[in-house]
Amino acid sequence: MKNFIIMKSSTQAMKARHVARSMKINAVYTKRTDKNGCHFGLETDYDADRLCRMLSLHGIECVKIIRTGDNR
Amino acid sequence: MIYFDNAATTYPKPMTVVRETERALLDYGANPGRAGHRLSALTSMKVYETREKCAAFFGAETENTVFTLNCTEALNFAIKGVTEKTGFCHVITTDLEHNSVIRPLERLRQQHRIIYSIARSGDSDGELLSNISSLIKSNTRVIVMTAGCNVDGRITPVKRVAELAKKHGICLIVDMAQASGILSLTLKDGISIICAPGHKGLYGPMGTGILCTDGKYPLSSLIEGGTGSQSLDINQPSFLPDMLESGTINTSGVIALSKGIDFVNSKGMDNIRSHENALCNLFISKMSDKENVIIYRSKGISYLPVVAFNLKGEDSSRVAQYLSDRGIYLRAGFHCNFLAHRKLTTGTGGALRFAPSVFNSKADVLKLITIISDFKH
Repeated sequence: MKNFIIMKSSTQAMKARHVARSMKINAVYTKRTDKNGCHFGLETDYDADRLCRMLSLHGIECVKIIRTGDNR
Repeated sequence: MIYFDNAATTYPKPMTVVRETERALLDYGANPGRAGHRLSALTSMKVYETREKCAAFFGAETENTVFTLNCTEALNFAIKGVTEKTGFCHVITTDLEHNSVIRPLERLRQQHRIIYSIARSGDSDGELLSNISSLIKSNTRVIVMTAGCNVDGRITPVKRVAELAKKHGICLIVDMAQASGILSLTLKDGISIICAPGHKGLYGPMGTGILCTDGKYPLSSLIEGGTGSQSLDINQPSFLPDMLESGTINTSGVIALSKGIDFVNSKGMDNIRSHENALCNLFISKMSDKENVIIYRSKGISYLPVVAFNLKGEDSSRVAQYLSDRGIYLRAGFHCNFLAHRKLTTGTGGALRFAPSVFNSKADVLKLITIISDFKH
């Protein structure tokens, strides 16, 4: 079950990846495209809501969570 | 060859910087922050790591650290970006500023977007501070000043000006072209925006610059274009760093800059400054013995390791050419800073600038002195 967390920018996505890794959370820097444009973010098996809460403590804003199946 | 033109660009670079430039071109060759393939992601990661390093170096948040082509571009982004957001306002600067500060200000003045005042630096920090303070008006929104003059190396009291700016709610933009890698000034000292080159005291490649902001004063973009973000929006992203990083950045330069900062951190800024100041002091002490030498320094003022000097009655460029013919490289002329030269009264010939780096030795300085002593009119 991989969720995709959209970040504001590539830099934010990379920062989020570093923060996630520092907490031993496996998250992969990923780009996806949909009708709203190009998005950089993290693909993760981890609880996306929880990860976003943790990232917000580091000043990282999760723009949107796309859960597996949402984008089919 | 002995190189003393390090105030323009440090040379040589540490081998780690040279090797990382090559490695970046070989191994991190995709556009960062654009595609999703592995090479782009790898390059993005390397750029991010440098951004994080620069942010830590200048006390900024990673996202508020922007890569530019040089310090001049960073200063233009800062000066024009902030004043566009504030609307018509009054700006204060000093008589020590490089053309990269005074020309953008003059351009904005001609466009009726600002008015500006130039604070006289006088003969002491207290005088400069007092003059800046006396120029503050109700519509003063920005102070832009150098941390250290690029002509004679005079260090300015940035921390005290930061206190003044904070008291009056004024944005303080600091030009750290000469001071980065020498003075440990950061945003934590109360500076609003730091502009720095990568290719001078940080020992990175040319074509790299840094803008760090505390985020309290909004900026606007000067250049719009592709950022890899919000691609379906006709408007430029309003968030940093994307807002100020349109188009592909100097990726190999930026990645190699990371090694330059590592080099500075490993040497220690105090040690670098101490070494270079010792070379300046040696130069001054030996040159002061000579009757025909003018050294542009005053007592009671602190200086970066840069010395402006002249041989009486000689055109500085002619002396520089004489030295160049003998394998010693210094820069003569006006150093893109007519304000400081006017203040120092260097005259129509400008001055020579002695600017050592961490790679220079006492033997280099003694050789310069020997050769310059043989200069004949």
